[in-house]
Amino acid sequence: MLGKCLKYDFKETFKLWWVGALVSLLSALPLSLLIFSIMNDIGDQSSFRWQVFPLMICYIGVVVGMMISLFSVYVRYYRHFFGKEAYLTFTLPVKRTTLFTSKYITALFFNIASYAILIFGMAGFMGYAILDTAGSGFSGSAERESLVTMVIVALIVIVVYALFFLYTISLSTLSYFFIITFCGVYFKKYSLLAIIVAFFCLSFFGSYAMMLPMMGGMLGIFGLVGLIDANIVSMGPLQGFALIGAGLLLVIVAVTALNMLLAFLSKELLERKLNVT
Amino acid sequence: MKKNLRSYLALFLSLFLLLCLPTLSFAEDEEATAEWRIDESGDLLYYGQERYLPFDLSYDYLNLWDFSKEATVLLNDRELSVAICDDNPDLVLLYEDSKDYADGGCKHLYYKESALAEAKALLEGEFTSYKLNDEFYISKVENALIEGILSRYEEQKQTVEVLELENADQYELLGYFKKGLPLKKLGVLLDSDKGYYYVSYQGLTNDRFTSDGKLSTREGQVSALLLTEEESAAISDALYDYTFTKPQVSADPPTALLYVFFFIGVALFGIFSPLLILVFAVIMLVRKKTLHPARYVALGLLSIAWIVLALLVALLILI
Repeated sequence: MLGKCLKYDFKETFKLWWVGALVSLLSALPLSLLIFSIMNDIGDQSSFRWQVFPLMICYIGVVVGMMISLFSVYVRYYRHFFGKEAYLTFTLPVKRTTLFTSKYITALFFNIASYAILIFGMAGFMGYAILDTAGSGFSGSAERESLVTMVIVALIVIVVYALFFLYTISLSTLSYFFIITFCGVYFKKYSLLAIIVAFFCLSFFGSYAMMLPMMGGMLGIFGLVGLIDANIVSMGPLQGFALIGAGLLLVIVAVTALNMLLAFLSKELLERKLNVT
Repeated sequence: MKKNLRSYLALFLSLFLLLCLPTLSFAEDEEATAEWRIDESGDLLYYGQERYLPFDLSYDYLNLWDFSKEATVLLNDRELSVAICDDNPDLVLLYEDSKDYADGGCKHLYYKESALAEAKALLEGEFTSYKLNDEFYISKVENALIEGILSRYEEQKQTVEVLELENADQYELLGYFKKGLPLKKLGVLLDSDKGYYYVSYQGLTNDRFTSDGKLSTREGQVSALLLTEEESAAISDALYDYTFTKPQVSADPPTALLYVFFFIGVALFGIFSPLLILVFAVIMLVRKKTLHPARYVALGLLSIAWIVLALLVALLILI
Protein backbone atom coordinates (compact mmCIF):
# COMPACT_ATOMS: atom_id res chain seq x y z
CA MET A 1 0.00 0.00 0.00
CA LEU A 2 2.92 2.32 0.71
CA GLY A 3 3.98 2.01 -2.95
CA LYS A 4 0.59 3.19 -4.17
CA CYS A 5 0.55 6.07 -1.69
CA LEU A 6 4.02 7.11 -2.79
CA LYS A 7 3.04 7.03 -6.47
CA TYR A 8 0.02 9.21 -5.81
CA ASP A 9 1.96 11.61 -3.55
CA PHE A 10 4.82 11.98 -6.05
CA LYS A 11 2.34 12.74 -8.83
CA GLU A 12 0.43 15.32 -6.79
CA THR A 13 3.51 17.01 -5.34
CA PHE A 14 5.18 17.25 -8.75
CA LYS A 15 2.24 19.34 -10.09
CA LEU A 16 3.36 22.34 -8.01
CA TRP A 17 7.01 21.45 -7.46
CA TRP A 18 8.07 21.63 -11.11
CA VAL A 19 7.01 25.30 -11.37
CA GLY A 20 9.33 26.26 -8.51
CA ALA A 21 12.12 24.02 -9.75
CA LEU A 22 11.93 25.51 -13.25
CA VAL A 23 11.93 29.09 -11.91
CA SER A 24 14.92 28.37 -9.67
CA LEU A 25 16.83 26.59 -12.48
CA LEU A 26 16.12 29.34 -15.04
CA SER A 27 17.23 31.99 -12.51
CA ALA A 28 20.26 30.07 -11.26
CA LEU A 29 21.83 29.62 -14.71
CA PRO A 30 22.07 33.37 -15.57
CA LEU A 31 22.87 34.13 -11.90
CA SER A 32 25.87 31.83 -12.14
CA LEU A 33 27.02 33.52 -15.37
CA LEU A 34 26.51 37.02 -13.91
CA ILE A 35 28.54 36.24 -10.77
CA PHE A 36 31.24 34.76 -13.00
CA SER A 37 31.25 37.87 -15.18
CA ILE A 38 31.31 40.29 -12.21
CA MET A 39 34.23 38.41 -10.69
CA ASN A 40 36.16 38.75 -13.93
CA ASP A 41 35.36 42.48 -14.36
CA ILE A 42 36.10 43.59 -10.79
CA GLY A 43 36.75 47.31 -10.75
CA ASP A 44 35.03 47.96 -14.06
CA GLN A 45 32.28 50.34 -12.90
CA SER A 46 30.52 50.73 -16.26
CA SER A 47 29.86 47.01 -16.76
CA PHE A 48 29.10 46.50 -13.05
CA ARG A 49 26.09 48.86 -13.22
CA TRP A 50 24.18 46.94 -15.86
CA GLN A 51 25.02 43.62 -14.24
CA VAL A 52 23.62 44.43 -10.78
CA PHE A 53 19.96 44.78 -11.74
CA PRO A 54 19.66 41.44 -13.61
CA LEU A 55 21.71 39.88 -10.82
CA MET A 56 19.13 40.94 -8.24
CA ILE A 57 16.24 39.76 -10.44
CA CYS A 58 17.93 36.35 -10.83
CA TYR A 59 18.64 36.16 -7.12
CA ILE A 60 15.00 36.89 -6.27
CA GLY A 61 14.01 34.29 -8.89
CA VAL A 62 16.18 31.67 -7.20
CA VAL A 63 14.75 32.47 -3.75
CA VAL A 64 11.12 32.47 -4.94
CA GLY A 65 11.65 29.29 -7.02
CA MET A 66 13.26 27.52 -4.08
CA MET A 67 10.44 28.60 -1.75
CA ILE A 68 7.79 27.30 -4.14
CA SER A 69 9.55 23.98 -4.70
CA LEU A 70 10.37 23.48 -0.99
CA PHE A 71 6.91 24.44 0.21
CA SER A 72 5.10 22.35 -2.41
CA VAL A 73 5.58 19.30 -0.17
CA TYR A 74 3.98 21.05 2.79
CA VAL A 75 1.09 22.27 0.65
CA ARG A 76 0.56 18.66 -0.36
CA TYR A 77 0.66 17.52 3.29
CA TYR A 78 -1.85 20.16 4.38
CA ARG A 79 -4.26 19.49 1.51
CA HIS A 80 -4.10 15.74 2.06
CA PHE A 81 -4.79 15.75 5.79
CA PHE A 82 -6.61 19.03 6.46
CA GLY A 83 -7.91 20.36 3.14
CA LYS A 84 -11.01 19.35 1.21
CA GLU A 85 -9.21 16.18 0.12
CA ALA A 86 -9.08 15.02 3.75
CA TYR A 87 -12.63 13.67 3.63
CA LEU A 88 -11.55 11.33 0.87
CA THR A 89 -8.19 10.54 2.50
CA PHE A 90 -9.66 9.05 5.61
CA THR A 91 -12.16 6.89 3.78
CA LEU A 92 -9.26 4.99 2.16
CA PRO A 93 -8.44 1.64 3.77
CA VAL A 94 -4.90 2.80 4.60
CA LYS A 95 -3.27 3.29 8.00
CA ARG A 96 -2.53 6.89 8.88
CA THR A 97 1.04 5.86 9.67
CA THR A 98 1.43 4.67 6.06
CA LEU A 99 0.02 7.95 4.76
CA PHE A 100 2.40 9.91 6.99
CA THR A 101 5.43 7.81 5.99
CA SER A 102 4.57 8.27 2.32
CA LYS A 103 4.42 12.07 2.82
CA TYR A 104 7.73 12.01 4.67
CA ILE A 105 9.56 10.06 1.94
CA THR A 106 8.04 12.28 -0.78
CA ALA A 107 9.05 15.41 1.12
CA LEU A 108 12.62 14.21 1.59
CA PHE A 109 12.92 13.34 -2.10
CA PHE A 110 11.53 16.62 -3.40
CA ASN A 111 13.49 18.74 -0.91
CA ILE A 112 16.76 17.07 -1.92
CA ALA A 113 15.75 17.41 -5.58
CA SER A 114 15.16 21.17 -5.06
CA TYR A 115 18.69 21.62 -3.72
CA ALA A 116 20.08 19.39 -6.49
CA ILE A 117 18.40 21.60 -9.13
CA LEU A 118 19.91 24.71 -7.51
CA ILE A 119 23.36 23.12 -7.40
CA PHE A 120 23.00 22.05 -11.04
CA GLY A 121 22.04 25.62 -12.01
CA MET A 122 25.05 27.04 -10.19
CA ALA A 123 27.39 24.18 -11.17
CA GLY A 124 29.38 26.26 -13.66
CA PHE A 125 30.23 28.93 -11.13
CA MET A 126 30.81 26.48 -8.27
CA GLY A 127 33.07 24.31 -10.43
CA TYR A 128 35.08 27.35 -11.44
CA ALA A 129 35.42 28.48 -7.81
CA ILE A 130 36.54 24.99 -6.68
CA LEU A 131 39.06 24.63 -9.52
CA ASP A 132 40.35 28.14 -8.90
CA THR A 133 40.90 27.44 -5.19
CA ALA A 134 42.40 24.02 -5.84
CA GLY A 135 44.65 25.48 -8.57
CA SER A 136 46.04 28.18 -6.29
CA GLY A 137 46.35 25.71 -3.43
CA PHE A 138 48.35 22.98 -5.16
CA SER A 139 50.21 24.74 -8.00
CA GLY A 140 51.94 21.49 -8.92
CA SER A 141 54.22 21.36 -5.89
CA ALA A 142 52.07 19.25 -3.59
CA GLU A 143 53.50 15.88 -2.77
CA ARG A 144 51.54 12.83 -3.87
CA GLU A 145 51.19 11.44 -0.38
CA SER A 146 49.67 14.61 1.03
CA LEU A 147 47.35 14.81 -2.00
CA VAL A 148 46.05 11.28 -1.34
CA THR A 149 45.54 12.13 2.34
CA MET A 150 43.72 15.30 1.37
CA VAL A 151 41.42 13.42 -1.02
CA ILE A 152 40.61 10.83 1.69
CA VAL A 153 39.94 13.55 4.26
CA ALA A 154 37.82 15.45 1.71
CA LEU A 155 35.76 12.30 1.00
CA ILE A 156 35.19 11.71 4.73
CA VAL A 157 34.16 15.36 5.16
CA ILE A 158 31.77 15.10 2.17
CA VAL A 159 30.18 11.89 3.56
CA VAL A 160 29.81 13.40 7.04
CA TYR A 161 28.34 16.61 5.68
CA ALA A 162 26.00 14.71 3.34
CA LEU A 163 24.75 12.84 6.40
CA PHE A 164 24.28 16.07 8.36
CA PHE A 165 22.57 17.64 5.33
CA LEU A 166 20.12 14.74 5.15
CA TYR A 167 19.47 14.99 8.87
CA THR A 168 18.89 18.73 8.61
CA ILE A 169 16.39 18.32 5.76
CA SER A 170 14.66 15.52 7.65
CA LEU A 171 14.47 17.61 10.82
CA SER A 172 13.08 20.67 9.04
CA THR A 173 10.54 18.53 7.13
CA LEU A 174 9.30 16.86 10.32
CA SER A 175 9.18 20.21 12.15
CA TYR A 176 6.95 21.67 9.42
CA PHE A 177 4.81 18.50 9.39
CA PHE A 178 4.39 18.77 13.15
CA ILE A 179 3.42 22.44 12.93
CA ILE A 180 0.84 21.73 10.24
CA THR A 181 -0.58 18.80 12.21
CA PHE A 182 -0.65 20.72 15.49
CA CYS A 183 -2.33 23.77 13.94
CA GLY A 184 -4.67 21.58 11.88
CA VAL A 185 -5.80 19.64 14.96
CA TYR A 186 -6.08 22.47 17.50
CA PHE A 187 -6.94 25.56 15.42
CA LYS A 188 -9.43 23.80 13.09
CA LYS A 189 -11.19 26.75 11.39
CA TYR A 190 -8.19 29.05 11.58
CA SER A 191 -5.62 26.35 10.93
CA LEU A 192 -4.32 27.90 7.70
CA LEU A 193 -3.76 31.28 9.35
CA ALA A 194 -2.07 29.60 12.35
CA ILE A 195 0.15 27.56 10.03
CA ILE A 196 1.24 30.66 8.11
CA VAL A 197 2.11 32.48 11.37
CA ALA A 198 3.92 29.41 12.75
CA PHE A 199 5.79 28.90 9.45
CA PHE A 200 6.89 32.52 9.52
CA CYS A 201 8.08 32.19 13.12
CA LEU A 202 9.88 28.93 12.44
CA SER A 203 11.56 30.29 9.31
CA PHE A 204 12.51 33.47 11.14
CA PHE A 205 13.73 32.04 14.44
CA GLY A 206 14.02 28.36 13.77
CA SER A 207 16.07 28.23 10.58
CA TYR A 208 19.19 28.66 12.70
CA ALA A 209 18.03 25.88 15.00
CA MET A 210 17.56 23.68 11.93
CA MET A 211 21.16 24.29 10.99
CA LEU A 212 22.37 23.36 14.48
CA PRO A 213 23.50 19.83 13.60
CA MET A 214 25.66 21.14 10.75
CA MET A 215 26.83 24.27 12.54
CA GLY A 216 27.40 22.35 15.75
CA GLY A 217 29.58 19.81 13.98
CA MET A 218 31.61 22.54 12.30
CA LEU A 219 31.94 24.73 15.39
CA GLY A 220 32.75 21.72 17.52
CA ILE A 221 35.63 20.72 15.27
CA PHE A 222 36.99 24.27 14.90
CA GLY A 223 36.45 25.01 18.61
CA LEU A 224 38.30 21.88 19.60
CA VAL A 225 41.18 22.69 17.26
CA GLY A 226 41.23 26.17 18.82
CA LEU A 227 41.30 24.74 22.34
CA ILE A 228 44.15 22.43 21.40
CA ASP A 229 46.05 25.24 19.70
CA ALA A 230 45.62 27.52 22.70
CA ASN A 231 47.13 24.77 24.86
CA ILE A 232 43.94 24.59 26.91
CA VAL A 233 43.26 21.04 25.84
CA SER A 234 46.02 18.61 25.05
CA MET A 235 45.27 15.16 23.75
CA GLY A 236 46.91 12.25 22.01
CA PRO A 237 45.74 10.85 18.66
CA LEU A 238 43.79 8.02 20.32
CA GLN A 239 41.86 10.42 22.54
CA GLY A 240 41.33 12.68 19.54
CA PHE A 241 39.84 9.89 17.42
CA ALA A 242 37.71 8.70 20.36
CA LEU A 243 36.44 12.26 20.79
CA ILE A 244 35.60 12.71 17.10
CA GLY A 245 33.86 9.31 17.05
CA ALA A 246 31.87 10.03 20.20
CA GLY A 247 31.02 13.52 18.92
CA LEU A 248 29.70 12.21 15.60
CA LEU A 249 27.72 9.48 17.36
CA LEU A 250 26.30 12.09 19.74
CA VAL A 251 25.08 14.27 16.87
CA ILE A 252 23.56 11.24 15.11
CA VAL A 253 21.81 10.02 18.29
CA ALA A 254 20.58 13.53 19.19
CA VAL A 255 19.19 14.35 15.74
CA THR A 256 17.64 10.87 15.40
CA ALA A 257 15.92 11.38 18.77
CA LEU A 258 14.62 14.79 17.67
CA ASN A 259 13.41 13.36 14.35
CA MET A 260 11.65 10.52 16.14
CA LEU A 261 10.07 12.86 18.66
CA LEU A 262 8.59 15.10 15.96
CA ALA A 263 7.43 12.16 13.83
CA PHE A 264 5.79 10.35 16.78
CA LEU A 265 4.08 13.49 18.00
CA SER A 266 2.69 14.21 14.53
CA LYS A 267 1.51 10.61 14.10
CA GLU A 268 -0.02 10.55 17.58
CA LEU A 269 -1.93 13.75 16.85
CA LEU A 270 -3.07 12.44 13.47
CA GLU A 271 -4.27 9.14 14.87
CA ARG A 272 -5.83 10.25 18.13
CA LYS A 273 -6.96 13.80 17.78
CA LEU A 274 -7.99 14.12 14.17
CA ASN A 275 -11.73 13.91 13.85
CA VAL A 276 -12.86 14.76 10.37
CA THR A 277 -16.00 12.68 10.16
CA MET B 1 -8.10 32.46 42.39
CA LYS B 2 -6.44 33.56 45.64
CA LYS B 3 -4.41 30.38 45.71
CA ASN B 4 -3.33 30.99 42.10
CA LEU B 5 -2.28 34.53 42.94
CA ARG B 6 -0.20 33.23 45.85
CA SER B 7 1.47 30.68 43.58
CA TYR B 8 2.32 33.35 41.00
CA LEU B 9 3.70 35.59 43.74
CA ALA B 10 5.82 32.72 45.09
CA LEU B 11 7.11 31.96 41.59
CA PHE B 12 7.90 35.62 40.96
CA LEU B 13 9.75 35.95 44.28
CA SER B 14 11.70 32.72 43.71
CA LEU B 15 12.79 33.95 40.30
CA PHE B 16 13.73 37.31 41.76
CA LEU B 17 15.83 35.63 44.47
CA LEU B 18 17.43 33.37 41.88
CA LEU B 19 18.41 36.41 39.83
CA CYS B 20 19.91 38.00 42.95
CA LEU B 21 22.26 35.06 43.50
CA PRO B 22 25.03 36.22 41.14
CA THR B 23 25.28 39.54 42.99
CA LEU B 24 26.13 37.63 46.17
CA SER B 25 29.20 36.17 44.51
CA PHE B 26 30.27 39.65 43.41
CA ALA B 27 29.83 40.92 46.96
CA GLU B 28 32.17 38.22 48.16
CA ASP B 29 34.73 39.23 45.53
CA GLU B 30 34.63 42.83 46.66
CA GLU B 31 35.28 41.80 50.23
CA ALA B 32 38.26 39.73 49.17
CA THR B 33 39.83 42.36 46.92
CA ALA B 34 39.34 45.09 49.54
CA GLU B 35 42.24 43.58 51.48
CA TRP B 36 44.85 44.86 49.02
CA ARG B 37 46.64 47.96 50.36
CA ILE B 38 49.91 49.81 49.84
CA ASP B 39 52.08 51.83 52.23
CA GLU B 40 52.76 55.52 51.63
CA SER B 41 56.25 55.04 50.17
CA GLY B 42 54.95 52.50 47.64
CA ASP B 43 57.63 50.00 48.64
CA LEU B 44 55.35 47.56 50.42
CA LEU B 45 52.18 46.00 49.12
CA TYR B 46 49.92 44.03 51.45
CA TYR B 47 47.32 41.41 50.86
CA GLY B 48 45.89 40.80 54.32
CA GLN B 49 48.89 39.85 56.42
CA GLU B 50 51.02 38.82 53.42
CA ARG B 51 53.74 41.27 52.34
CA TYR B 52 54.84 41.85 48.76
CA LEU B 53 58.22 43.45 48.02
CA PRO B 54 59.36 45.24 44.83
CA PHE B 55 60.80 42.77 42.37
CA ASP B 56 63.53 44.25 40.23
CA LEU B 57 63.39 42.88 36.71
CA SER B 58 64.20 44.32 33.32
CA TYR B 59 61.56 44.81 30.65
CA ASP B 60 62.77 41.65 28.88
CA TYR B 61 61.06 39.49 31.43
CA LEU B 62 57.66 41.04 31.37
CA ASN B 63 56.38 40.98 27.88
CA LEU B 64 54.85 37.54 27.62
CA TRP B 65 52.97 37.21 30.87
CA ASP B 66 49.25 37.29 31.37
CA PHE B 67 47.93 39.34 34.28
CA SER B 68 44.39 39.53 35.61
CA LYS B 69 43.22 42.66 37.35
CA GLU B 70 42.26 41.98 40.96
CA ALA B 71 41.74 45.29 42.75
CA THR B 72 42.65 48.97 42.95
CA VAL B 73 44.71 50.71 45.65
CA LEU B 74 45.33 54.40 46.40
CA LEU B 75 48.88 55.77 46.55
CA ASN B 76 49.16 59.54 47.20
CA ASP B 77 45.74 60.11 45.60
CA ARG B 78 46.72 58.10 42.49
CA GLU B 79 44.54 55.13 41.75
CA LEU B 80 46.65 52.07 40.87
CA SER B 81 45.51 48.69 39.64
CA VAL B 82 46.72 45.46 41.18
CA ALA B 83 46.98 42.53 38.75
CA ILE B 84 48.08 38.99 39.53
CA CYS B 85 50.13 36.88 37.13
CA ASP B 86 47.95 34.06 35.75
CA ASP B 87 50.79 31.53 35.85
CA ASN B 88 52.23 32.56 39.19
CA PRO B 89 50.02 34.03 41.94
CA ASP B 90 53.09 35.22 43.90
CA LEU B 91 53.86 37.77 41.19
CA VAL B 92 51.88 41.01 41.29
CA LEU B 93 51.85 43.96 38.92
CA LEU B 94 50.96 47.48 40.04
CA TYR B 95 50.10 49.91 37.27
CA GLU B 96 48.21 53.04 36.45
CA ASP B 97 45.36 52.53 34.01
CA SER B 98 46.15 55.77 32.20
CA LYS B 99 49.81 54.82 31.62
CA ASP B 100 51.61 51.91 30.13
CA TYR B 101 52.63 49.67 33.03
CA ALA B 102 56.01 49.02 31.44
CA ASP B 103 56.74 52.73 31.09
CA GLY B 104 60.09 53.49 32.74
CA GLY B 105 61.03 49.92 33.56
CA CYS B 106 59.28 47.53 35.87
CA LYS B 107 59.47 49.27 39.19
CA HIS B 108 55.85 48.31 39.82
CA LEU B 109 56.42 44.57 39.93
CA TYR B 110 56.06 42.94 43.36
CA TYR B 111 56.79 39.46 44.63
CA LYS B 112 55.45 37.68 47.71
CA GLU B 113 58.04 38.15 50.46
CA SER B 114 57.95 34.53 51.63
CA ALA B 115 58.73 33.24 48.12
CA LEU B 116 61.06 36.04 46.95
CA ALA B 117 64.34 34.34 47.92
CA GLU B 118 63.41 31.21 45.99
CA ALA B 119 62.44 33.23 42.90
CA LYS B 120 65.69 35.23 42.97
CA ALA B 121 67.72 32.05 43.34
CA LEU B 122 65.93 30.60 40.32
CA LEU B 123 66.63 33.73 38.30
CA GLU B 124 70.32 33.35 39.00
CA GLY B 125 70.20 29.67 38.09
CA GLU B 126 70.00 28.08 34.65
CA PHE B 127 67.13 28.00 32.26
CA THR B 128 65.07 24.82 32.23
CA SER B 129 63.55 25.23 28.76
CA TYR B 130 63.68 27.45 25.68
CA LYS B 131 61.06 28.64 23.24
CA LEU B 132 61.02 30.61 20.00
CA ASN B 133 58.44 33.34 19.75
CA ASP B 134 57.01 34.81 16.58
CA GLU B 135 54.39 37.54 16.84
CA PHE B 136 51.61 34.96 16.79
CA TYR B 137 53.25 31.59 17.31
CA ILE B 138 55.43 30.03 19.94
CA SER B 139 57.56 26.89 19.48
CA LYS B 140 59.49 24.77 21.94
CA VAL B 141 63.13 24.04 21.06
CA GLU B 142 65.49 21.42 22.42
CA ASN B 143 67.68 22.57 25.31
CA ALA B 144 70.85 20.96 23.92
CA LEU B 145 70.46 22.79 20.60
CA ILE B 146 70.11 26.23 22.21
CA GLU B 147 72.78 25.61 24.84
CA GLY B 148 75.17 24.66 21.99
CA ILE B 149 74.38 27.91 20.16
CA LEU B 150 74.73 30.02 23.33
CA SER B 151 78.05 28.42 24.26
CA ARG B 152 79.53 29.12 20.79
CA TYR B 153 78.17 32.65 20.56
CA GLU B 154 80.89 34.59 22.37
CA GLU B 155 83.76 32.82 20.58
CA GLN B 156 82.42 32.53 17.04
CA LYS B 157 80.21 35.62 16.65
CA GLN B 158 80.94 37.87 13.68
CA THR B 159 80.02 41.42 12.83
CA VAL B 160 77.12 41.68 10.42
CA GLU B 161 75.56 44.72 8.74
CA VAL B 162 71.94 44.79 9.90
CA LEU B 163 70.82 45.89 6.42
CA GLU B 164 71.73 42.39 5.23
CA LEU B 165 69.09 41.07 7.62
CA GLU B 166 66.42 43.52 6.51
CA ASN B 167 64.03 40.93 5.08
CA ALA B 168 64.81 38.16 7.54
CA ASP B 169 61.97 36.79 9.70
CA GLN B 170 62.68 37.30 13.39
CA TYR B 171 62.08 34.72 16.13
CA GLU B 172 62.77 35.77 19.69
CA LEU B 173 64.56 33.25 21.88
CA LEU B 174 62.99 32.97 25.33
CA GLY B 175 64.54 31.26 28.32
CA TYR B 176 62.22 29.77 30.94
CA PHE B 177 63.24 29.12 34.52
CA LYS B 178 60.31 27.00 35.62
CA LYS B 179 56.60 26.88 34.78
CA GLY B 180 54.98 29.89 36.34
CA LEU B 181 58.23 31.70 37.00
CA PRO B 182 59.72 34.48 34.89
CA LEU B 183 61.11 34.01 31.45
CA LYS B 184 63.83 36.08 29.84
CA LYS B 185 64.26 37.29 26.28
CA LEU B 186 67.75 36.10 25.41
CA GLY B 187 68.09 37.17 21.81
CA VAL B 188 66.71 36.73 18.34
CA LEU B 189 67.08 34.24 15.51
CA LEU B 190 66.97 35.77 12.05
CA ASP B 191 66.03 33.62 9.05
CA SER B 192 68.29 35.09 6.31
CA ASP B 193 69.31 33.82 2.85
CA LYS B 194 72.55 32.42 4.27
CA GLY B 195 70.81 30.54 7.08
CA TYR B 196 69.79 31.40 10.63
CA TYR B 197 71.72 34.12 12.50
CA TYR B 198 71.55 34.38 16.28
CA VAL B 199 71.89 37.83 17.85
CA SER B 200 72.09 38.13 21.63
CA TYR B 201 70.17 40.97 23.27
CA GLN B 202 72.85 41.32 25.95
CA GLY B 203 74.56 44.68 25.65
CA LEU B 204 72.21 46.00 22.99
CA THR B 205 70.94 49.48 23.74
CA ASN B 206 67.35 50.59 23.43
CA ASP B 207 67.96 52.37 20.09
CA ARG B 208 68.71 49.02 18.46
CA PHE B 209 65.02 48.05 18.71
CA THR B 210 61.93 49.16 16.83
CA SER B 211 58.84 50.46 18.62
CA ASP B 212 57.26 46.99 18.62
CA GLY B 213 60.30 45.45 20.31
CA LYS B 214 61.91 43.86 17.25
CA LEU B 215 65.58 44.16 16.36
CA SER B 216 65.97 47.22 14.17
CA THR B 217 67.54 46.50 10.77
CA ARG B 218 67.72 50.12 9.62
CA GLU B 219 71.41 50.82 10.13
CA GLY B 220 74.52 49.73 12.03
CA GLN B 221 76.19 46.48 12.85
CA VAL B 222 75.48 43.67 15.29
CA SER B 223 77.40 40.69 16.57
CA ALA B 224 75.77 37.60 15.14
CA LEU B 225 76.45 33.88 15.02
CA LEU B 226 75.69 32.03 11.78
CA LEU B 227 74.13 28.67 12.65
CA THR B 228 75.34 25.45 11.04
CA GLU B 229 73.12 23.62 8.53
CA GLU B 230 72.14 20.98 11.11
CA GLU B 231 71.24 23.65 13.66
CA SER B 232 69.23 25.58 11.05
CA ALA B 233 67.35 22.41 10.07
CA ALA B 234 66.57 21.66 13.73
CA ILE B 235 65.34 25.24 14.23
CA SER B 236 63.11 24.97 11.12
CA ASP B 237 61.65 21.71 12.46
CA ALA B 238 61.01 23.30 15.85
CA LEU B 239 59.33 26.32 14.23
CA TYR B 240 57.05 24.04 12.22
CA ASP B 241 55.64 22.60 15.45
CA TYR B 242 54.07 25.70 16.95
CA THR B 243 51.19 26.79 19.15
CA PHE B 244 49.45 30.15 19.14
CA THR B 245 50.56 32.76 21.66
CA LYS B 246 47.99 33.93 24.16
CA PRO B 247 46.85 37.56 24.57
CA GLN B 248 49.11 39.41 26.95
CA VAL B 249 47.09 41.29 29.55
CA SER B 250 43.46 40.38 29.95
CA ALA B 251 40.84 41.68 32.34
CA ASP B 252 38.99 38.37 32.29
CA PRO B 253 40.91 35.17 31.70
CA PRO B 254 39.49 33.66 28.48
CA THR B 255 40.06 30.13 29.72
CA ALA B 256 37.56 30.51 32.53
CA LEU B 257 35.00 31.97 30.13
CA LEU B 258 35.54 29.09 27.69
CA TYR B 259 34.93 26.60 30.48
CA VAL B 260 31.75 28.44 31.57
CA PHE B 261 30.39 28.28 27.99
CA PHE B 262 31.48 24.67 27.74
CA PHE B 263 29.62 23.62 30.90
CA ILE B 264 26.51 25.63 29.97
CA GLY B 265 26.55 23.91 26.56
CA VAL B 266 26.94 20.47 28.11
CA ALA B 267 24.18 21.11 30.67
CA LEU B 268 21.75 22.58 28.14
CA PHE B 269 22.27 20.42 25.05
CA GLY B 270 23.75 17.34 26.67
CA ILE B 271 21.58 16.85 29.74
CA PHE B 272 18.56 19.15 29.89
CA SER B 273 17.27 18.65 26.31
CA PRO B 274 17.50 14.83 26.27
CA LEU B 275 16.11 14.73 29.82
CA LEU B 276 13.00 16.56 28.61
CA ILE B 277 12.59 14.00 25.81
CA LEU B 278 13.13 11.15 28.29
CA VAL B 279 10.46 12.54 30.63
CA PHE B 280 8.08 12.92 27.68
CA ALA B 281 8.76 9.32 26.57
CA VAL B 282 8.15 7.99 30.09
CA ILE B 283 4.89 9.96 30.39
CA MET B 284 3.71 8.57 27.05
CA LEU B 285 4.63 5.06 28.17
CA VAL B 286 2.79 5.37 31.47
CA ARG B 287 -0.34 6.69 29.77
CA LYS B 288 -2.73 3.91 28.88
CA LYS B 289 -4.02 5.72 25.79
CA THR B 290 -0.67 5.64 23.96
CA LEU B 291 -1.05 3.70 20.72
CA HIS B 292 2.49 2.50 20.03
CA PRO B 293 4.42 2.13 23.31
CA ALA B 294 7.43 0.49 21.58
CA ARG B 295 8.16 3.79 19.80
CA TYR B 296 8.49 5.60 23.12
CA VAL B 297 10.72 2.89 24.56
CA ALA B 298 13.07 3.47 21.60
CA LEU B 299 12.85 7.25 22.08
CA GLY B 300 13.63 6.91 25.81
CA LEU B 301 16.64 4.68 25.09
CA LEU B 302 17.92 7.15 22.49
CA SER B 303 17.65 10.05 24.93
CA ILE B 304 19.60 8.02 27.54
CA ALA B 305 22.28 7.29 24.89
CA TRP B 306 22.31 11.04 24.13
CA ILE B 307 23.05 11.91 27.77
CA VAL B 308 25.73 9.21 28.08
CA LEU B 309 27.46 10.30 24.85
CA ALA B 310 27.34 13.98 25.81
CA LEU B 311 28.98 13.18 29.16
CA LEU B 312 31.55 10.99 27.38
CA VAL B 313 32.44 13.83 24.98
CA ALA B 314 32.73 16.29 27.88
CA LEU B 315 34.94 13.85 29.77
CA LEU B 316 37.18 13.24 26.74
CA ILE B 317 37.67 16.99 26.31
CA LEU B 318 38.41 17.60 29.99
CA ILE B 319 40.84 14.77 30.75
